[in-house]
Amino acid sequence: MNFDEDILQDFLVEAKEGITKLEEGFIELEKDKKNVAILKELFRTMHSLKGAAGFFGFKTLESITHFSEDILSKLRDGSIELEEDVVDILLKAIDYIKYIISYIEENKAEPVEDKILDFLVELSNFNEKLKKRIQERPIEKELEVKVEEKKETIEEKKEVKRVEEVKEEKEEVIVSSQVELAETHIKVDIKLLDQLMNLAGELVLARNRVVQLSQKTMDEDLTRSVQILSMITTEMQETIMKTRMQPIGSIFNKFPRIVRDLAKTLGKRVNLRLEGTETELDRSIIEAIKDPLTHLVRNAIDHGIETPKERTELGKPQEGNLILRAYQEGGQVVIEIDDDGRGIDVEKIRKKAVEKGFMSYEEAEKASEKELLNLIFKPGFSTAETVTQLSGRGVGMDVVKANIEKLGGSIEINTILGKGTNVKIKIPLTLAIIPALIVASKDYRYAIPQVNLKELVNVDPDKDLLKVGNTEFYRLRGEIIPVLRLSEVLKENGRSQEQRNLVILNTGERFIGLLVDKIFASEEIVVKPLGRWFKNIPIYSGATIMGDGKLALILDVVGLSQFVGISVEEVEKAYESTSVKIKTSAQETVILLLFDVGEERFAIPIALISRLDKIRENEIKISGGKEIIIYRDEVVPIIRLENYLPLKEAPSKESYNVLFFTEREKTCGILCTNIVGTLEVSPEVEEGIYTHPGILGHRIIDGKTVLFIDIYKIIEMYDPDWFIVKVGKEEKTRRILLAEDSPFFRGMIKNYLTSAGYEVEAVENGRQALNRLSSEKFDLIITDLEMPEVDGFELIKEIKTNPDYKNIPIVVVTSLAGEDVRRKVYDLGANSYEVKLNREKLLEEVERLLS
Amino acid sequence: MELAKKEKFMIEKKEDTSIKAVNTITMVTFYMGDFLFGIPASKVMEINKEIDITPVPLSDEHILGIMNLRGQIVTVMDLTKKLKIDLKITPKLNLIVKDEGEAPVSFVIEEIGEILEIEPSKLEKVPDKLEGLSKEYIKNVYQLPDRLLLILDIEKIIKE
Repeated sequence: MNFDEDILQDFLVEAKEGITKLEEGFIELEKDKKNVAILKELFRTMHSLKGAAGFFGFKTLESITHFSEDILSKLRDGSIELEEDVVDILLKAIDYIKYIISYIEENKAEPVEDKILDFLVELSNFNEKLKKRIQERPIEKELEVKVEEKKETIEEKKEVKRVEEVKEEKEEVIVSSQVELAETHIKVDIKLLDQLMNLAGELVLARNRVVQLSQKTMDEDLTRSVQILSMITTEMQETIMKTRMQPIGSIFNKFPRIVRDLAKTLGKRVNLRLEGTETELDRSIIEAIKDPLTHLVRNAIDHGIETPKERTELGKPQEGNLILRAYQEGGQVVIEIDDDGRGIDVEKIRKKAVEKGFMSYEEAEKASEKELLNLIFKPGFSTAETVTQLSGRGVGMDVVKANIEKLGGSIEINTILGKGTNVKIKIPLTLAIIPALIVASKDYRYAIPQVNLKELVNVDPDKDLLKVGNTEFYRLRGEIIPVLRLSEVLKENGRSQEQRNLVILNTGERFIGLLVDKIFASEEIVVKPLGRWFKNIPIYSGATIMGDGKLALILDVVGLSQFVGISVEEVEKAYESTSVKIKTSAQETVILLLFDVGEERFAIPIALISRLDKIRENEIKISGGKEIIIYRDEVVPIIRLENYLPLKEAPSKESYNVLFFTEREKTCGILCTNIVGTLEVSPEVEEGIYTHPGILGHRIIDGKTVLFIDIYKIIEMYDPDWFIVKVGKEEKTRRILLAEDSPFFRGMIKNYLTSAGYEVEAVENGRQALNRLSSEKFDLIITDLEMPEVDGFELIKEIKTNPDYKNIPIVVVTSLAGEDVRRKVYDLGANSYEVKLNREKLLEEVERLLS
Repeated sequence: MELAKKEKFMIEKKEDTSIKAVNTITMVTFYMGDFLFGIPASKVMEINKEIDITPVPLSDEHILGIMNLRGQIVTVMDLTKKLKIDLKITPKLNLIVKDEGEAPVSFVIEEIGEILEIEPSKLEKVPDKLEGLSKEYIKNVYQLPDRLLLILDIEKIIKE
């Protein structure tokens, strides 16, 4: 027989454990014959042994365990008493089981020996005898007295016979029980391993001290001994850590059978592929993800993969593909369950969310795909129209999620309707050791898990941070990132040193910046839990002991993000809105900065402004016929809007506010009389009344007309050469089709594309885009995602499936980046994905795709 | 008669000593201001002088921070804050107390008192007139010749 070595090994370990349990159980039972709990336990152990034996096809073992189980069940139900002969035969059975197991361990097959077969016959006979005994019992009761005597004699006779039997086989049994099960695996309490690891950590610290001392004394012999001590210590620490690691294959390997059986039951054909089985994980994690994984695989087969008939009709191969994939990614292990089935119908979830009261109608309409998919993890939410026997088995997706989160992991679903579903589980490599960046605030060190780390930026807080209300922001390549100061979060008093180190953190949903006093190196840290007094402080996830024996708290990045101020929730919303799949841009929002020039009010997306500052009138100098200021050792040209727009000249003031606009290291400043504040709005504007170059449109906000300025156009009017990115006069002007429903963005993007030398046709939605495509030729398509009638997703699909245009590159633009959307548009075939307001990047991409 | 009486007395005496032998509780005592507190020795893991406390910002007032006890993270508490005693102490010693199934907890104290054997039968209820601290964490009191020993309700202090 050919088994996977690992599975057999598992079986043997389990069987040995079972035997120990059985032996202990019987000893206990002899003391307390009526203990049903022990009987139940014995029955269960025997039962699982039988199951395993059956699985491997060890027939003799299966039979022995079967009969033993039968006897135990009778004992358990109380239909027979635990008499001497019963105990004996069961103990004998255990001896044989032990013998068979040890034989299997050596030979990978069952022994075929007469004595075992003889015992099997004996066992079977005994079982029959017991059955009769049970049948006799009711009669016994009726004829109690009369039978009593008779029964005794029968018993006596049996007794004698039994003793003889035992004598006969005694020697054999002894032979078999003497077989020592060679232990290749033992079970060790994880606590013991933890303790070992603690001690190893302590040893490392002690070693470090000894090393330091030896360096002082400079004794050669001592130094040599210390070196050896040092090496052994390191090796020991590594080995102890290894004791906890196991390849994920040990659970992956259980799936081929599960999948096969399940597919068969459901009448589906599934091809399972296992990838990255050698990926190592902490044993306790492996154990803990077994059930969630099983559930997810079940789901994939049950709800995901279609029947062969459906698949044929859909033009898919009859056999569905299911991939279980594991790999390491930045200190985490990612496990993916990938199927090419029918995918999840997000619209159905949307409907169901309302029906089941998980969301109001309005909420559901606005909800992003991600939000809707997350509902699957809510208790009581199941999309399967009929709960099948398989998926309806006790654990729901809510439990799956809870279990994964308990491990410090996360789970996300990505799906494309009709194409398949991908479930991604991210779990820490080990619960115990993680790589972390060590930072400092005041005199104490803090550890930030490397998984949450995006990048480090050196900033000048006064110059690079933009303050709106009480919250600071940092612009990282066009994205607005709220910034927290660690010392403020920790409510540390006193003046902090100048904080120049900005750590950009990824919470999984968004980025935040954390300003810290100092950054040290990255280290492997041993995570230790904090006591219950700290459970309600969201910013810590534990503590660790540093090399010098001092402690450092481990920061919880998600917890930290809660400290981002209220005014930033607006930024946040803008963030979320990127992943929000909404029908029109009306629900898309931008954060605007409102400012006055003279009596007119203007608006500009705050993301375009690099910083704000005040200057005094006398700081404005004239140089080369143009107004400039010297700002932080830099000559910054000043633009007065009234020179380019039909405005009344602003009255002279002692001081002005300046909006700085930086691109490609060139900065200019726009002079304004007053900063009104920020406002989060949908980017809708009305066109028509103010048709002047540099104005995108207007809108009434708080009873006042606000003009939306096109800063690119204005700067171009100021200096036509400002944005020189000459495409080089080509023979032919490239034509771009731009689909964008918001006039605001449409105007702005069109303007900067045109000024970069392209010919741009702008349309309002996907339908219009398709109409244009059918009659005209374009070199590139730029599309928004959320548009009425035909949205961006559909447009990409249409284009990519039409042989006439499928080769035209597509750039998707969105107001801010979101990973799930990015993935989806790339899956659909888009060539690029950019942020609308990031002109520089978008132009680069356009250039790249057209060259 | 006389003999019988004597015998009875003997028996009584015998019982008395046996109770004492089995049932006295060893108490570790320490001072905080004018108060003398007791903790059953069976709950005390160790007393040490290593006061290197790492503060945990944002934690409750009575939590001084955490410390490293041979690889274990121990939470350090200031009992004066927990018991609302109006006193500022200079932590000099760690009285490390076991917490079933969890990492130990340390109470910082200034001065350790005697180790006493007390008889549980002589434990008394907390008197109403006791003032100057939050009585809910005092389990019992025990009258010593010269002063009152306050027995701390360790479980309650740790669990709440």
